[in-house]
Amino acid sequence: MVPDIPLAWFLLFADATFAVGLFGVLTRRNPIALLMAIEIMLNAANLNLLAFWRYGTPAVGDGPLTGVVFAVIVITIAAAEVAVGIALVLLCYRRWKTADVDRYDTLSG
Amino acid sequence: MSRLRLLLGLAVALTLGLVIEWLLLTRLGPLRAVFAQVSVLALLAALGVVLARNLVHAALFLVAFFFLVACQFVLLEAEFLAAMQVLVYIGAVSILLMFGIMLTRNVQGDQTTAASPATYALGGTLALGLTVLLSVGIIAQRSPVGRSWVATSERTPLADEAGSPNEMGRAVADMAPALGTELMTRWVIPFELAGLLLTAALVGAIALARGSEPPTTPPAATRPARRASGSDSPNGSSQPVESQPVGAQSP
Repeated sequence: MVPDIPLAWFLLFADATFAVGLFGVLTRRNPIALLMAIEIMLNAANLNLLAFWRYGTPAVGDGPLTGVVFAVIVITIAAAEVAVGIALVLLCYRRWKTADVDRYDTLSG
Repeated sequence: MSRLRLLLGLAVALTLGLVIEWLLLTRLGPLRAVFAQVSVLALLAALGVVLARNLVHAALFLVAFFFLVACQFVLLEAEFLAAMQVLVYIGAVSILLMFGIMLTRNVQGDQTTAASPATYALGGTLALGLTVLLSVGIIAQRSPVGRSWVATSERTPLADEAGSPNEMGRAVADMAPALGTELMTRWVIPFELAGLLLTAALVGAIALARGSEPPTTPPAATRPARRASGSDSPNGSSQPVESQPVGAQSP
């Protein structure tokens, strides 16, 4: 009997990955690097959803694939987010000629 | 001499790797050993993404990270989602990010705009604090019936006592059609909303990134009429592209 992976291992891994992504968002100043760090955080969340799907029991009437459907929706949202994000970065780069979020400070008083 | 050193280094690395592999396999069993290695590699790749100075290196680390997360999906028996992860994230998102890097021509990354050490300290403290907080929560968690996540190491069964697959087992074994059916019946409203969002986001992205170019010159058929109406008031045409020929011909 092969010992299976405990649920907590997946959760701890997703926790550490999310923290790495958060660190990136807090320290990076290039907007594209920020988008990359956000993608890391989204992936950590997705892993959590799938782990709870595989180790838990779906509620009655929710079908057998709750977590997978949730993860698919998250992947869709992530793709939309990164497309709009890149477009905004390109627009900001064209207007201010810089790729540094600290320099996009027109709205700060 | 250098070749000998290279061979020696390779042999040492291979031996060390084999020893570590053997230790992991005998201590943890195959599944857990694979999980441990994939996790360590994925964490290293994620750290590479947030720490790499060169943005192209960061993007390549991100590709490695996506692939390793796809491996985790396989470990969770969601092979279809792993394929989706490879297609959507590695195939589309990272290429899009590469395009962004290329178009902003900032290959040097943060080299010229490095964050201050205070920012690094603050970010590191916050991230580490979050990790510790969540880890304590995960390890100390108890469900109302006393089951903990640490002790939960058996998955939801995919077959009943007789050995025939149950509803979840059938869905896991043949996930693409099952997922399609689920998306089209039970989860049709979230599915349609996601499709609407994706359409709106992509159209918006194109509209944003195209920018406001100067309007194209009107077709030749409308030109004489414009020029005739604009001849009595040369300042009437506001477009600089058009005012140039008008101004050149009026004297």
